Parts: sequence; C-alpha cells; structure tokens
Amino acid sequence: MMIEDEELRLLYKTSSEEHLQKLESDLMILEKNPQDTAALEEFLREAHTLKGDSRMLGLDDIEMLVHHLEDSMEGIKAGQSEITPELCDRLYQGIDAINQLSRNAVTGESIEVNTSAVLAYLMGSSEQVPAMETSEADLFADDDDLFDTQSVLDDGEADLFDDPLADSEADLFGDDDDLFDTQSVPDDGEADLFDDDLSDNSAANLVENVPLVASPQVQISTPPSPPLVAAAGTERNYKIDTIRVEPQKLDALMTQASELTVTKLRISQQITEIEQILALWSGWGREDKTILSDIEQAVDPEVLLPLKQYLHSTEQRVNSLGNLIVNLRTRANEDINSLGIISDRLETGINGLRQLPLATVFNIYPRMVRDLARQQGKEIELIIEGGDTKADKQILEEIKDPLLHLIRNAIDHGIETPAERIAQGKSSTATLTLRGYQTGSSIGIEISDDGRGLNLDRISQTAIKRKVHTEAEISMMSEAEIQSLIFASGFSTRTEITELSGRGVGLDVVRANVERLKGAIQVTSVPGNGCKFQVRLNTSLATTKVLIVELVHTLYALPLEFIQTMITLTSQDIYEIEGKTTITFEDRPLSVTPLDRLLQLPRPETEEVKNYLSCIVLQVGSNRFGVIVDDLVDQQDVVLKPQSKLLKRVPNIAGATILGNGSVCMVLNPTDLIHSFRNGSWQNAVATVETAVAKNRLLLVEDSIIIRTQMQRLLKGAGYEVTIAENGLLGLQQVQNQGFDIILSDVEMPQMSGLEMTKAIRQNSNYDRLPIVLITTLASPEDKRRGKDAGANAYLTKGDFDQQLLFETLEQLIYVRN
Amino acid sequence: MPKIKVLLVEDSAVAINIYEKMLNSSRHIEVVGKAANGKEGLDLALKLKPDVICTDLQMPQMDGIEFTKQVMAQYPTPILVLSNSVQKTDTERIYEAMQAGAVDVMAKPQTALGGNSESMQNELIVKIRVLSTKKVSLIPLK
Repeated sequence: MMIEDEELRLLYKTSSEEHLQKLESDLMILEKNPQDTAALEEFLREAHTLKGDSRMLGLDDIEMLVHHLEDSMEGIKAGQSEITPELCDRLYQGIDAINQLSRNAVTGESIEVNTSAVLAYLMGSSEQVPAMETSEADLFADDDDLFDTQSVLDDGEADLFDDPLADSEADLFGDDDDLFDTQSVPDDGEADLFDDDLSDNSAANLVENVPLVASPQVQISTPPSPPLVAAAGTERNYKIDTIRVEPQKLDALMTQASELTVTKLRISQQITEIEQILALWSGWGREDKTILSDIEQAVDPEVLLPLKQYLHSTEQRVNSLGNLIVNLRTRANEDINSLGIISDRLETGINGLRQLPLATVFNIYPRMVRDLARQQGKEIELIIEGGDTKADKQILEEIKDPLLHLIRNAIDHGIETPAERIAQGKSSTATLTLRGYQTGSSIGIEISDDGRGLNLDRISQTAIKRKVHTEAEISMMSEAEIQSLIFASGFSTRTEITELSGRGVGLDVVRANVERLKGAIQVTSVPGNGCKFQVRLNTSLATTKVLIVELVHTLYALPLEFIQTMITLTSQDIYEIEGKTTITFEDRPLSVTPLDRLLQLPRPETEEVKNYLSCIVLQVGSNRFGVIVDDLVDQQDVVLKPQSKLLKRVPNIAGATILGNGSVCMVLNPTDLIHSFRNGSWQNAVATVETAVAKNRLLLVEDSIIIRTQMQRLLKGAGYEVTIAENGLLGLQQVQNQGFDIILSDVEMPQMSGLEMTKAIRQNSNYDRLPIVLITTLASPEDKRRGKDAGANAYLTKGDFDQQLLFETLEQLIYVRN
Repeated sequence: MPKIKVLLVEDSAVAINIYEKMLNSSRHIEVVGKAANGKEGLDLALKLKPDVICTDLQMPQMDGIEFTKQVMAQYPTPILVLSNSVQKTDTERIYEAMQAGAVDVMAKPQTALGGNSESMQNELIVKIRVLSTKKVSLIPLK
C-alpha cells in the first residue's frame, strides 16, 4: 500500500508526520491536564485533517483509526467520558499504529499492523466512549471485522462487530437515514454477534497469530532488543525534514564564505595603495612652481606661451586626477565596509543554516518516559529545559540515541519505585530533568534524576570482576574516576537483563557515540541522591575548536579535543627522569617538551628566558604529555582545510586554516605529535636543527634605543644572531673583535657616523666582502650617493621602511658574499 | 471560450494537490489560486476574481462558513463546499454553509492511493462547470 503519486506521497509524509506529532503531544498534555481545551481542540482539528487526507488518498485503515481517535476525543469533549490513563494508553497505541501505517503508505515498507486488532483495542474504551454513532458506518466497512477485545483487555468484554451497512460510502450525499443511526456499542459486557459467519478460530487467530501492534511487547517506542540497535530499526523513523540541502553543500558554502573573508582583507589592503596614490598626488600639487616665473623673466614670454599652456592643462589634469582618486577612495571605503558586513552576515547565516533547536530531539522523549514509567510502575515527572538551544542538524540526529539510552538507564536503574522512594523519605514522584544549554560555542545536555545514584562499591566490584581494573588500581582512584568507570567497555552493574534498558550495553556505546561527535560525557552522582550525566558537544561539526598558540613568532593551532588542560610552569617545576624533562602533574610524572623542538623549528638562542612557561597538557588516547609554547593566544572555531591532495602526508600537521586576520595558520595533529615525541628523542632533534641552520651573525649599529630594540627583535625573529653597537666607533671595535656576516647601520650617530664607520671598515681589505647596509632618514639622491661612495652595499631609507625589503636585501647580500 | 478560473481554499496540502491534479485534467478549468485558510482565500478571491471557489469547512484562522459569508458579502461567487462529511457535526455545518450562500456541496473526492479516480474527477469537473454558469447575488453580512 504505497501512495502512487510521488508528489502526494511527499506531501502526505510531511503532513501526516506533523499531524501525528501534534496528536501525540496534545494527548500528553491532556493526560496531565484533561481540562486543557486548547489541546483538545487541536487534537480534534489535527485528527480531522489527517482523517480527511487519508480518506482522500484511499488510506482506509488510517482513516478508520484516526476516525476512532477523533471519536474518542469528541466523546470527551461532549463530557460523555473522561481521560483515563487506560484510555490514553489505547490512544497512544492507536497513534503508533497510524504512524506505522502511514509509513507504509509513504515508503511501501511492509509492516505488521493488524488494523482490525488495533481497532479492537481502541474499541476497548468504548464503554467510556459511547459516542460511536455514525462511526461504524465507516469504520467497519471491511468484511473481516471481527473484534475480540478480550484478547487485549482485562475487562472481560468480548464485543464482536461486523458492518451492518452495505454502503460504505458513508457520506452525506448518497445518504439514507441509517447512516446516522446509532449503532451503539453494548456496554453490558456481553458478547454481541452481528454476523453469523463468525467462527471460533478466526477469533483465535486474531489473538494467537497476529502480532498486535498495540501489545506492549511490540510497543513501538520500547523495543525489547538492545536499544541503540533496535531504535533505528523499529522505532518510527526519526528525521528532521525541514532541511532539504545536503550538508556537504553547506560545508562548501562555509568554505567559500571564509575565503570571502580573506578576499575582503586583501581588498582592504588595496585601500592602502589608494592612499599612497593620493599622497603622491597631493605632493605633486605642492611642487614648487617658482621655476616657471624664473624662466619667464629670462625668456621671451611669447616663446613660453605654448609651454605655459601645456603646463596649465597638465595642472588641470592632475587636479581632476586627484578628484577621481579622492572619489575612488571614498567609494572603496564604503564598499569595503559593506562587503565586510555582508560577508560577516553570510558566514553567520550559513553557520546558522545547519542549526536546529534541541527541542526537535527533546520532543520525542516525553512519550517514552511516560510509557516506561507506566510499565515499571514508577512515577516520574520529566522536566525539559532549554529546548531552544540550537545545534547542528547532524548532531541532533546522532545524539538522539545516546540521550535515549541515558534516559532509559535513569528510569530503569536510577529511579526507584514509589514505595522505595517513600521509604527513603523522598517524594513518590521522581524528577527526571533533561536540560539543554549553551556554553560559549558548545552546547551541554544534562540528564539528571533524583533516584538512587551510582553505587561506588558495586562499580568497583564489577570493575574488578570484569578485569577492567585491579583492586590496587581502584584503591588509587578518586570517587569521580570510579564513577566514570561505568563508561568502560562492557561494563554494567546490573546483573540481570531487564526488558527495558536492554543489557547494559549502553554506556560505553553512549560514550563512543558522543566522542564521535567530538563531544565529551561526564557523570556525577551522590549515592542515594541521584545521578547526573553531562554531555558536552560542539554546536557545529563543520568547525573545529582550536587553541591558537604562538611559537617562534608564528601562530599554530591545536585541536581543543586533545587538550586536557593548560598550566603555567616555572623552571623549578621541571626536573629530569631518565634523561627526560618531566614535571609533576596531578601527582604523577608527566613528560614535557618545548613544542618547537617537537616540530623541529629553529629558535634563535639569544631570546630572553621567561620567568614562567605555558604548558599544554595533551591527551591522546591514554597517553598524556605536555608541550611548552611561547604564548597562549586565543581559542577559536576554525574551518579546517585539509592539505592539498598533492601532499601525501605532512607529519604533525592536520591541515591549515585561515585566521580572522587573513593569515594562514597550521593546525597541528596531536596524534602525530605524540609519535614524534616518542620516536624522535628531542635532543637529537635539537642537534640536527643546530647544524642545519647555522645562523648569520649580524652587527646592528644604532644609537636610538627604541629603534635598536625594535630592530633587534625583528632580526632575531628572522633568524639572525644579533650583536649590538651604540655608535660607529663601538661598531668598528665589534667588527675588529669578531667576525660578522653582515652589518646593518644607522647613518647619523654620535662619536662616529655610519658613513665614517663604513669608510673605516672598507679601509681594511679583510672586510672587503663584508656587506654593509645603511639605513637612514636621509633620503636624497645625494645622501645615497655619499653612502655608496663610503662603501655601503645598500642604502635603505627609514621613511618607506619595509621589513620585507630589509630582509630581502640582507639575504641577498649574504648570499652574494658566500 | 475562456477557462473557468477556480480558487481553492483548503488547509490540507494533500487535498489541494489532489484537487489541482483533477481540475488541471480539464481543458475548461484553470486553478488560479490556492489558499490555506479562509483569510488568505478572501484576499485571493478579491484579487483574482475567480469564477468558482472550492472551499473546505474546517480551517484555521477563518473557517469555510465565515469565508463563504465574507465572499458573498464582498464579491459574490459560486462556492462549492468540499467536505470531509463523515460526522454529524459536519452535516450541520454544511447546512450552515449553504445558508451562508454556498451553492453546492460535495464530499472530498477519494482516490485509490492518490492514483487516478476518474468518476470522482468527472463529478468535480462537472460540478464546477455547472457552477460557473450560475449567477449568485450579494448577501450582506448581518
């Protein structure tokens, strides 16, 4: 039975799911608060529409069942019956059956719902619902309508109906009076037979062979098999239909959006160029024009006229050029601003597209909790908070089962029966709280109950029995550590297998599922006073949370999921064990190493020693180690761009990302790092680094302390070994004392200027090949010529000082020298 | 001959889709508008000036009866009520709709799993063609 027309099939799928969801939630409301007329009205409206749709599509079974739901509720509305838990049970079962039937109509999947039997079960409520009047006309149009309520119900009734009406077109238009005849259901508990062809065995079949969808054993939301597996198979298909875009496409959009950010930065750099043009232009306008009047006096004005005209028109053109540039700058500024705003909005917008409220998942639990509570005879109030917290669609879909399992566990293992609770002085109704909340850029989901809590002794015993840990190991453990043993593989404190929560396969699988979503799970429990599970998840799978660290003046990112903690060390904290630098962390020795050594990065040696060291404790699987970095910069969500496919494998690097300022940042791979840490004894690494990169020795001659400090830092960063001299004389002494690869000098200095020093150095033929770079504010061609005459190899002006140019010049000169 | 312009007012997307399929099979009829409730329907009726309006009774915001009253008062158009019509309350409401000015009623067509059901389709088309020839007069709101 599948709807033939594809368009209608999709429409029906969406609308019926919606209607059923509402029916169920309305029923939940009504069960708690029978006076809620708004819910009652909505229930009726939803049922009515669903019935109409089903009827139009010829889905008779569904129509029949929905009709009955509607009827029951009409009876309640009319005050002819009351909402009882039993009635609700029946109605829920009816909704479940309809759910299955509609899935069959949409997917064509075969299902095992015996509509007649379900209907019979629903009819069990008939004594509360005498408002059956017109319904039988439609409901029992099938020829095998044979209902044995006794098979399902305890009340001992056996009502057998058959359709007394030949005309199943129960509509107004072909009507005769009997359509609206009352064919009320007998309420005297006797078996009524409306048809003769009833045979005993057909009734028996119904009971024995036909799996009743309504019976608790196959109750839809409580499969008896291990829940995590069974949930996917037998439970109603959980889907969020609002998004119809493949997530990959959104990811691609995300990547593009971040590229846009980079482009935006590059465009704003062009503003700087425009500013330069503008500066050039305004300088041009101010140029000295007296030269013309000087010539005018010397030359015949007549001869000069064409030249004057030419100059005049040039002047005008320069002016209009200037205006154009000014306009260009204004417009470019505006455009960059709006581009910035738009690209920001795009990025957040695309991010938001994948996000849905947690309520989409939370909504499915109330029903389950209710059913479980009833089956186990427990009284539970489920409190849901923070359903509007948003998370990635995929996270929502995948967190559904782990949460389901945790809730089940809480009900099955945690929450006591009312009697037990009263004996312990608790209120008979247990509280189960499901709470979603946002913390920074991650979300948390908490499931807490006020049940019996975790039993530490039992956990310890089980862990020993299952050989998860030895007794000695456990005696060393803290309470929290023992509690978290329940997440260990194959661990369950419950010896018998209960029908409901499966076989305790749960918690290790739950943990694995949560970790697959880059999340973490934690348990805290006060024995006798409940238990709280906290799940922490990223809101988005598209981005990775990283810690940005600085290392030798470069930023690197470390994925947060591997970072256990960050600590500050002083040099006293570090000692050696078996030749390894070690610290004491959480009362245990922990090996530490500078991250730059691990990455084999060259580090200038002259750097000052810090008073404290920033150490990041990384945890990869069960391995822990510390890495020391120069600085902790920031924590961010970044879009990880994998390496080019041309690169097969880059050790220690997981990929790259583009930071907010547009710079590229390498994302490190902690799994590789631990490998590097173990295999490459880092002392060797240091040795190779030293031989590989012999540093160039540079003499910096500069009298201004500010410029000197800045330059020194800059040059060290670029890998030079820097020696300082405060004036030309001292510089000359340094040159005579030790060998340098290059000299970088200011020109104007007390005692001896840069020019004098250069001349002095050049007088000694030993230093013929020693490159000297002069750097000065004196920028006239005359100055440059003088510098060159003195013997300098390059002459840079401070006005347009450009690091890049400086480094290039230095490198080039050193290269030429060698 | 110009096509008969039909406006559909119905809150179920499934039903709308079925009507549309049925009506589009006729070369005399054109579905010019679709509204999910009486309120939207009224706006569209005034804007599109359809020849015939098909409406459901039970709808959110403005139901079919109020909608019929409004249409008859503002832009009298032959109205065909398409009803679920299985329950007693429905019959009462149909009389109410007729009183408000609806010209005809018909049960919502049934299909076999959304497939073609010609007799229903013909019935609907014929009804609409007949209705399009009817003149209806203004019924002021009370």
